Amino acid sequence: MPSRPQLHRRAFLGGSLATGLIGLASGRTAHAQTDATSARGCIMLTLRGGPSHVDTFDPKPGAADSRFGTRRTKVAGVRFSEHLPLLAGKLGSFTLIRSMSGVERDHQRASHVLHTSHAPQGGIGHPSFGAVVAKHHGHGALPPYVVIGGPAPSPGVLGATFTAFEVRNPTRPVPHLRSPRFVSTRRFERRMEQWREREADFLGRHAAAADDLLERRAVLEHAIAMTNSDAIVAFDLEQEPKRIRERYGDTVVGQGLLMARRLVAAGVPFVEVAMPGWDTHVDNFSTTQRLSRELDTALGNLFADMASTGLLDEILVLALGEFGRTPTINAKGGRDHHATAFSAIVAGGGVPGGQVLGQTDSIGREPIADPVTVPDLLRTVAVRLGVDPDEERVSRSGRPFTTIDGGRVIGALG
Amino acid sequence: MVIEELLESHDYARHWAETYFDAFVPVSVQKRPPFANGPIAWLERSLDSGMGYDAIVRRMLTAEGTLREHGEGAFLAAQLRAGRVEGVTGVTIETFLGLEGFRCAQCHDHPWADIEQKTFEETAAYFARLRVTPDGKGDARTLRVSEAERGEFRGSGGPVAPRFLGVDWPVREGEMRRETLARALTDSDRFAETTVDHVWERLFGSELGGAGASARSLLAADLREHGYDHRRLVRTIVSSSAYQRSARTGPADPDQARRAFAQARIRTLPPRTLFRTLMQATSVDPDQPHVMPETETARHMMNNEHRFQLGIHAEDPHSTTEDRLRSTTPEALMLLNDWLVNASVRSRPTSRLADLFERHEDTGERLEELYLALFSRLPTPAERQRDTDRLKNANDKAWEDLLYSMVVSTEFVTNH
Repeated sequence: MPSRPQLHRRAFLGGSLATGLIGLASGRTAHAQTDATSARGCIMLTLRGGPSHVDTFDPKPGAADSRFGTRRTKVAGVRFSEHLPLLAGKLGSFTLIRSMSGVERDHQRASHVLHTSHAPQGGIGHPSFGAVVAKHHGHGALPPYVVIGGPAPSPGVLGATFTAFEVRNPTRPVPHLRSPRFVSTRRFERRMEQWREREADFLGRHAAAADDLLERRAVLEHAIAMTNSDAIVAFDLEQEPKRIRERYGDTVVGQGLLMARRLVAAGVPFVEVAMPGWDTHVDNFSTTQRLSRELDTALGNLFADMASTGLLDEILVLALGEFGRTPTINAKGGRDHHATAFSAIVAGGGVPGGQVLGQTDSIGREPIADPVTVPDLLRTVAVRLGVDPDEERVSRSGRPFTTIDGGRVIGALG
Repeated sequence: MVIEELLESHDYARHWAETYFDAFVPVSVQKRPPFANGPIAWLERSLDSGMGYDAIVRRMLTAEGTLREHGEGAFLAAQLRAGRVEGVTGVTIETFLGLEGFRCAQCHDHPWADIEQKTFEETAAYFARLRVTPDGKGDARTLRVSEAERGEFRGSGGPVAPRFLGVDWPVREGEMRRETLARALTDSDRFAETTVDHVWERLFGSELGGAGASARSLLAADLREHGYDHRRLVRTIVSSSAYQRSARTGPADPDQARRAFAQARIRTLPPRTLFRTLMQATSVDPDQPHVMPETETARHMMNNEHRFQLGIHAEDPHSTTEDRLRSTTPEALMLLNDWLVNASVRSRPTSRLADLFERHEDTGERLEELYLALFSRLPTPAERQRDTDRLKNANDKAWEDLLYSMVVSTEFVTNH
């Protein structure tokens, strides 16, 4: 495992207090200063529904209506929920941000922010960040953007060509990646030559719909390239030893992260794995306990595998929900939406491990140090992936907007 | 007149029954035994008999009994099993009244749609006594929808009494809560307008939108005035000049033209329609397609039509009617590589190709019949030349390749 600076939280905070804490700097300046492009891909684990930060990565023993015990982590003085044992032992591999903060308390709106950095505005068509990365890298034999375990966010103005390739259920084989056995590769090619002629004729007769037709054709061409490529073996989890598959857990998130690891190793630049179920308005503790165990097994083993093969040096890994949950319990034993404080995990791609950035108040209601917004985080990730966060695009209604909506690069992420 | 003939045919009832079944019952549960047969047959009978659409919805919301005998209970049964009382409430109001975001209010006041959590909970109280329980065993297995004698919805502040969207709706003596809700809902102006929106969207592939407000009002008023006559609504819309526009011509700005319904939108066929069109185009008898399972995997494909529904236009919260021409890579892969699509073009007994070979010797005649069957037109001179050159001295496989290139073409898989 490559050696990494193990920053003690107090040492980090002490240092950062003197230097401006987490070193937020203006985006363009920081971009220039960080010599940043050091990650060639990204796995983004979205904890859909919004996990309770105070019952996972930012516990408040004796406060915030807490019920779970806590356990020590690799970093002295930092504790996680008792249900995250593997991740507690892996904090040396990742940075934890405890001071994520936003304003959106509605799932759809907050999820839009999480995926685009922009607040939703009707008709603008902000592309999801994964679609932006896909456009930056372009199509190879494998799709440049894959979403596993949940519906893909919209590619917005970038169009259907950059819609994510969706794998609904990674515990089953991905269907239709090959022609049936009775159609040889050569014959498939012959058929597609005829298909191309027909498409050109149809386009000629329906020039008024040229944009849509060409976009559709590009998607079909990509499907043809995939069918003809050996690279699609990256989707096949049967290629992994059984003990590895079992280690990640027989869950959508477990098998999803294993597939994500195979895909980024094969060159896919952006993979999102969706883990739904965190919207615990009812019976927060039993649901959070169950999901924490699944998350811990899957993400903990992903970090271990990626570190042992060196993949973590090249690939950035993010894990967060669209918001956190209230520090108080409601009448149904649940916690409701809470936007002003939540946690995020950032690892790999040159990001130092063993750090805890920011801090929330005694019940986890608000950050008391170094608030970080989703635009801050996505701008930082964009810079590390070599994507220009300030590239300007124009909505269908003619309104300009940038890839990332403001934000500042988080200096402490390297 | 063609429109009248089609409206009077049984295909009308079948088509709209399937359309509403897809809208009311999630695709993922449609093939489970309780939902597989009875519900869609009930919708078909109701539409065929001319039952008003408002009466159909009232029957659905007040259903009692097993789905085997009372298919109208499928909507409540599917929604209650998927998401408790809150789920039924949210989907009911969003589906029939078009109040987007109503579901969000189950947890909190809606941030911008002016829907309070209290309003949601009061509406949910109408469903507090709804029960869905398993009934029967083995082949007789089904679900029973019933109304309990008591039971209250517990909201964030305790038990909640029913009110319809913030209004005290009068309760008739002896009626169950769902009956009050069904009357209130189908009496709402929004109900008529939402019905118009659904039918319009289904026929045009795009929403009526804000620009169509006056058309929506006129159609909704006519619908109410004529007892929610569904046939009449469909007849009025398909007889309009807007519906009869071509996709090939129109003003210079295609976006503007399509928004103003001055040009038809090219859109992919719904999955059920695509499946049936494929079977019809490649088999002599579409009711007995020549495609038979031939592999172990295929034997387990219980229902190919259902697979098409799951694989193409799967339930996707982000897709809009504006996206109907677009395809995703998984959909494209299914179209290109699915076993059924590839098997349907093979020249087997009772297939379109086998029949063609038997009846025509001449390549030109075969091509004409094939183009008519698949594209409803004759080949252009260029196509005729190109295909004839390719088929000269070729074997059956060349014809299969030709047919394959046709069934995966945009011309075949779209309305245009």
